[in-house]
Amino acid sequence: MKLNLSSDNDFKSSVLEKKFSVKTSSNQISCIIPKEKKFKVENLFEFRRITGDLTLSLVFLLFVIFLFLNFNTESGWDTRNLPQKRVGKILKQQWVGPLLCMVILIPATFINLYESFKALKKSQRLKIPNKIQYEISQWIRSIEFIVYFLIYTFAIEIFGYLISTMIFANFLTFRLGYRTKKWILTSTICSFVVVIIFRSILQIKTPVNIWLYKYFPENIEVFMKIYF
Amino acid sequence: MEALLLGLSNLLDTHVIIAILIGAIGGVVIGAIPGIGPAIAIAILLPATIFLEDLVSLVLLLGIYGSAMYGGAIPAILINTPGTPVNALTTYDGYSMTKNGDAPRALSLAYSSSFFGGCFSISIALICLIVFGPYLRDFGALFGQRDIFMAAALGSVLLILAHRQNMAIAAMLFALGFLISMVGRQTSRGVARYTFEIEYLASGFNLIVVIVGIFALSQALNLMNGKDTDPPETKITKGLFKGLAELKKYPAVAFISASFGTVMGIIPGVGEFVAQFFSYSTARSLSKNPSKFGYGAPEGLIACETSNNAVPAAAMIPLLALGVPGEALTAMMMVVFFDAGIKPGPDIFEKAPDFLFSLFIALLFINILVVITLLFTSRFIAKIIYIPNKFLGAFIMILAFVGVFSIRNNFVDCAFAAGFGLLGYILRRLNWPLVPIVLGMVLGSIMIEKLTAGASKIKFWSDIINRPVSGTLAFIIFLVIIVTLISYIRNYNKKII
Repeated sequence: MKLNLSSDNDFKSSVLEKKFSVKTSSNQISCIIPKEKKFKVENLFEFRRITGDLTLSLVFLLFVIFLFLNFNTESGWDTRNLPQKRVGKILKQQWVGPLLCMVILIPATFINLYESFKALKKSQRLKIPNKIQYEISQWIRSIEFIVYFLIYTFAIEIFGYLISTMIFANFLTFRLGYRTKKWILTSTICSFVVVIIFRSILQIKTPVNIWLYKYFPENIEVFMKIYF
Repeated sequence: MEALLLGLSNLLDTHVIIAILIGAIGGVVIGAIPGIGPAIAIAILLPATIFLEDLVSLVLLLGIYGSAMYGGAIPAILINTPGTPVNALTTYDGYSMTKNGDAPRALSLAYSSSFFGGCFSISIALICLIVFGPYLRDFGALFGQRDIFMAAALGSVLLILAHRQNMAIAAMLFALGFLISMVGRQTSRGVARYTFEIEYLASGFNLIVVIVGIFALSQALNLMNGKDTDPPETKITKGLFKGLAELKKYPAVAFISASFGTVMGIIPGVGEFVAQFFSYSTARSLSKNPSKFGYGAPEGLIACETSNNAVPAAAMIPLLALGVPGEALTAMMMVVFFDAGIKPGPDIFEKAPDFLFSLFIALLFINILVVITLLFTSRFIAKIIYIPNKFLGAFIMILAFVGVFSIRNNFVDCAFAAGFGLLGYILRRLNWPLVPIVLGMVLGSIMIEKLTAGASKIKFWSDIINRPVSGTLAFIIFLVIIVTLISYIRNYNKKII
């Protein structure tokens, strides 16, 4: 079997498994630091609060306060019918579900905020960098792709599913840095296959009143509407 | 026996056979690509399955679910990157074996272990159906609305408690999911909840829209905003059959791990990770050479893969028997049931026992098909690992559109999905769990539906738990919460000391 491993991985493993020997100047006492434990199975469940956790926890708190302030009018609590002789008549009312949610949501949000705040304090004590700007910039960066996605969905009604998908796939491929002919061709083929599988074969519903198709000859327009 | 034969004959349908083939092979390919995983594939495929027959669509989704973990082991073993999140533990011993020049052995050991785990839980389910089938027909009579409500409540509690280190986050996201399922105009009373008089919110949030946004779109954003990795190239030459027989050397590990996988799969909200944790820890404690664990111990690999693959069949049990999904993938399959004539729940044993046999036998065929396929095509499938992440992200986004738009032909749904995608992306970056949102939506709506339906029989608060089943389930909830609290307090005291 031929196996090529990167030198970086070999280097890491050699560092991990290296035994360090610490000796005194007189060489009378020597101690060997044992091989570093590579992992614990518990690590699989390990959860660490990282930069941005407190910000999101605060956003959640504000959102929950907003929901709570609107609970009276938005859950049907204002039209509640209490007291009732039968508990069942209370449970049938529409505010019961939202109330159950709030009973879990409010304490959980406060506990989460407290834990997040505690974790931030700890990271500050340990001088772990926790600048939030980078994290928020990453959240905002993703909005760019969300905007592309929304433009794509609206473009389908204008250019049709096939053309829009091919344009969008090629644009995204180009935007993401795959700018060689090989990748553009791959992207074109893949997008075509997606349309064929989902629209032509599986007949998944996509918009049918396509602006562009109206300018096609009638036969082609019908064909395009059915299959693309 | 009649139901078994009928179940088998259901599988002879051409569409079902095609679904088995596509599900099995497609699942392996999807699992082998790091960054996709069965949740995303099922989320995207859900709308397509609505147009298919219920057995065909369920077999297709089950195929993806059951075979993705086989595929996920390939990149875990070859390039130290798990194909699906549940293959994370496989990297420890699997990749170490690759480093020691034993990649084909590790792969074949993973395949045989997965096969054993899968067949073990399927066999248990089939034996139970054959032996207890006639008695299970009366099972439906035992379960009333309040019992199902309590079962869903137990599932919710277990789901939250399973997130040991981030229980507050899990509870918060579960409640958020629950609230999302409440949004909209209530059809029976015409009362709008949390719509803020916005017309688009009147019909509420569709479960598929949320699933596609939270799982697929968020992962697409994650991949496109991330960096392309350049994994080391590993070639598989010969020796894939070498590890198949090696499983026989560790029968205790295989049996215990498969049992853990089956039991943990049945318990709602627990699933693969906890099954692996117990299996791996037990295998290490049983081993004569525990120090080798993490450095290429075959028992470690067997423990992970066997327990992983025992879960899918077992996870179907609470869904089919109680109508309560225990994890995200079975929650997604619930959507197929919503559209099908067959509703999961205690009545299914009486109304459609052949359907149950069909599902489990199909899963058995899928496991056989996957192992045969992998033994002969691993070297080709291994090349899929090297598809660049960003490119993959772009195509997940394109596929997400089909998944969302086709449900209600509504552009607003696409905007909602985009919003949930952004939320999911932020949660992913901060390592917050996504599953509680989806399960909150599913379990929350089950709880409210059953509570409302059973309300006419509730005179006092105690009537909710005065039935044998609901009372027992309530006691289990109480017990689980108390045990968790005690262990939490003990751990807290240890930390202080």
